Amino acid sequence: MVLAASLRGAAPSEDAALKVALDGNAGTVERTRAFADLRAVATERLIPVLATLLKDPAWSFSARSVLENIPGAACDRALLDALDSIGDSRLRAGVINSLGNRRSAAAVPALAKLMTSPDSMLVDAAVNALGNIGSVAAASALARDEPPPALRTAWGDALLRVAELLPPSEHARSLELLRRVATNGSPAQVTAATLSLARRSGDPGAAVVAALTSNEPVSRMAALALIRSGEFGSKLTGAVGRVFPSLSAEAQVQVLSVLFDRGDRAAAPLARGALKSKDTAVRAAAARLLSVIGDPSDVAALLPLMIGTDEPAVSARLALSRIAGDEVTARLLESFRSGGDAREAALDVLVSRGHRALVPELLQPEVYADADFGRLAANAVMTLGTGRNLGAVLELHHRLPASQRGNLENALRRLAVKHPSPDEAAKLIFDAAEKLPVAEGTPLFVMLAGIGGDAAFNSLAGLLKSDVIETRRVALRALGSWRDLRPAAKLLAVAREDSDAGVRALAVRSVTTLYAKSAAGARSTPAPEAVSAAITGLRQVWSVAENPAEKNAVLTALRGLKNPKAVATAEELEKQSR
Amino acid sequence: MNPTRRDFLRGILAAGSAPLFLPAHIFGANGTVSPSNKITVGFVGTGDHGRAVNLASILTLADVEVVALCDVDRKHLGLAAEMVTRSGAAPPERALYRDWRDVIARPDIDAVCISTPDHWHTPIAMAALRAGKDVLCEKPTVTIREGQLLAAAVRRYGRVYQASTEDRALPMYHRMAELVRNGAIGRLHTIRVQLPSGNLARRVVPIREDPVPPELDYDMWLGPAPLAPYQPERVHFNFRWIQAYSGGMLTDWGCHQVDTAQWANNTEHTGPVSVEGTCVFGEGLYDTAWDFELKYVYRNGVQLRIENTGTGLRFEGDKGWVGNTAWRRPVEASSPEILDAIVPPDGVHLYTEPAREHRNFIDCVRSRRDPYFPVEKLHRLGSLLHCGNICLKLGRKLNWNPDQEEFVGDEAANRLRARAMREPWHL
Repeated sequence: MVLAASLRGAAPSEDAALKVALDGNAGTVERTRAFADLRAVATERLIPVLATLLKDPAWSFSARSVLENIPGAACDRALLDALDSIGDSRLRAGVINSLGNRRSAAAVPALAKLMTSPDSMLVDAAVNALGNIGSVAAASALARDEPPPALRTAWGDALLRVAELLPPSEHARSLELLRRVATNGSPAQVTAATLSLARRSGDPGAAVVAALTSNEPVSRMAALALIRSGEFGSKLTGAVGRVFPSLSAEAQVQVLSVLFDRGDRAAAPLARGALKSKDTAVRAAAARLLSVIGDPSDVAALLPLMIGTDEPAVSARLALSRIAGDEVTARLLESFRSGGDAREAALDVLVSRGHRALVPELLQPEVYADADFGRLAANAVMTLGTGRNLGAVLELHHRLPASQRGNLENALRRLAVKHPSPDEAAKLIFDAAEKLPVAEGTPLFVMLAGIGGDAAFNSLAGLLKSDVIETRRVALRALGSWRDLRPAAKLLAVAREDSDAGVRALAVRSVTTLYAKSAAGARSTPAPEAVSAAITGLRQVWSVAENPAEKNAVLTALRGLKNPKAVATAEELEKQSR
Repeated sequence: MNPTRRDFLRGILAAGSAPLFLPAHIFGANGTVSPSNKITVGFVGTGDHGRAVNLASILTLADVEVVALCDVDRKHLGLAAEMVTRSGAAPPERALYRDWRDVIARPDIDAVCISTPDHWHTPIAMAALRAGKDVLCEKPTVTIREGQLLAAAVRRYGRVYQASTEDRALPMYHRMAELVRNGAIGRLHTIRVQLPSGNLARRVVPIREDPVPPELDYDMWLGPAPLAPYQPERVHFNFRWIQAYSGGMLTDWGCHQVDTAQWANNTEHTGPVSVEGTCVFGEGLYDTAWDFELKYVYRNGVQLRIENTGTGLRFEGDKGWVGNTAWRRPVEASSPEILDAIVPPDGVHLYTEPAREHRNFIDCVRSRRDPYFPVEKLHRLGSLLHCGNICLKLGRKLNWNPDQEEFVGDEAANRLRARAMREPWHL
């Protein structure tokens, strides 16, 4: 075990690995791993000793897996000798597999004989091996003897592979094999052979057209795979375009879908025609295709389609968001400004296009008169706006009736984060909040906690000194949602000293939440220092808590830390309070 | 390959080990086509992830019919059958299987969802493709060669293949990749990926042999992997800590964050040109890399650094950075301008499907589009991660030619691009 383990992680040595592999006293797994190491390094000199193991049911596979990797004719000979001398069918099949994996030309005569064996396991292995070898001789062997019906799938597959492996000088033979599969194979093999024949034909367009128009699912699948592969470029696309109108709607959708994968611009006329189809799935697929190959001339046809939630509308919006060009943007802006049903769809597309110049238009109060559209507009501002738009959005926020401001608050939060200077952003927001009645400014004050920084902190801390109770309460709410423990001391001071009982109670709640959050963090197991700080802080909160509800909140916070010390502290405090 | 027939189900019923509420006449139904216009799906692998993520999600899709369930563990199968029954969408063609070949053989099945341990992904997926099924398969592959063969098979048969991860559907990863691809952080120079430590519990489990429980077909569980003594810590969820079945945490979680790295770096169809690193491999049963650090370099000069210190992801460019601190956490950036950058109409818009991988897959089965995580991208991602494991195993820097898909001047490394399968299994 030790030896085998030491071999791993470094280039294994042939001698050391062999010693373990052949050690009858070593464990099975240890020996198996040593054989696995030998796969990388074994040389011809090991062939005799490994070949003797091929008859051993316990070690045949391990030895074979090494032999399979040793280059040279000597190894082929050893495997072929073993094939003659091994009686066990399963082990023989393994040897055949290895000969096939080595693409051993010397093995073909022996494998050809096995094609007529009564043992289906051997026939299966021989057929597969001949398919791997893929030589002219292998092709002849496979073509001469058809295996029993149960193995026809394996046989057809082998013929298909041989047809791929034969050199170009054997083109005629390859075609012959493929035609044989195409006429006698299973549906899957017919598809494969059709595909391969089309690939090899001088005019794949004709073959694809024939396959598509035959209405034969098997042939159609081959044609679609060939179109999807893009192997023949625009020539194939042109041929497909000529028969496209005569195809069923299902086939049309499939053709449009595989052309989408290829992104061939030659398919544009076909897509444009399909955009007029009566079938919604065809129209949707056509619009989707235009998203990768369309140009500004397609906008006129796509604009009327983009309204609504059905499949063609979604695809049309996708296309309009992906077709580059200022003229596309201009047409979308026209739709946006014209109002009506197109306005929402146009906004959606303009946002996808990243049209930041739209922001000033979205900062007009009338845009927010309709609550639903206002929500979309605010989201657009959030996506398209930059930190530099913060002041203008705050101004709009101020001008809107209170009932319409909610939509803008997510945008404000995001733009504040995007602002290059957190302190400047905080100042803008604080000033805007101060211009509003306290209740209406609350969301903005709370927003300051999310921005963080000195300006935000000092502004909120300053509010704690206000004579107005409601102002102090707002500051407590904001500081209670601060990202770290910075406000804790101030909140505790308020909890101890404020003249108003309600404010003191809110301060207790805020600082309790702050400590509980600080030790929960993003990780499931908080850092020990964070837990200690939270325990100490919550003890201080306990000392100022004035009623059972506040004390219970502290106990819940301690237990929520899921830390033995915190739980013990909670128990200790609870005992004291009894 | 001597398919084992579905006497297994009779075994379940006889043993009474799973409460099945399925009428007897539905079993063994074969060769019929769903009368509805629904996509018919067979499930192979109904363990925790197969049920809780894949089956649960597929059962919510109104245009899908689950018509077959398959698992080598009767308990898993019973639980999955209960889920289907409870979903209220019990289809008439549903049946239960132990051997996935029975599912693949059903001509009435349009697609298969594979949620087995890693070492079974590619053999089952390849067989399904050969049988004309579209495939939704858990990640990853086990070797570079598997990815090559899988990608070739998908192309050969013209099928739809979705590697089953959610990352490309999650807004934070999609956003990060789009920001990077559109130059929001300037020229990308470094990608830092954190992966969890290999073997989450960091347990050293001694190897031993326990009796195989009666509900488990252990030989079928092992399949193409080497024979090994049974112990419960080896199978089901734990497979991912064992090299015989998986690439460990590097491939298991790497298929998430490193996929976003490939996506953002626009290297989904290629790979790095070198990899170096160090690791500590596990001892005992769990022998994949536990602690590891890897540095990859791409042809465009970008460095990808992977270490097992968490689940975060960060892209660093000459104008700033974007990333997140842990799995599925919100996107953060070095400045609000980067965070709020808007991708212009002619910018790079990356393929996503907010409704997640299952919806995306079914839509693509209908439309024949490529899903958002198609096989070629899975293969290139897998190659990158397997290169890392080969580097760690050999303990030396490796140079990789992503065009030829071979290591430069390193025969030992090249040999480890593939591994043999236990007989009679093959790809």
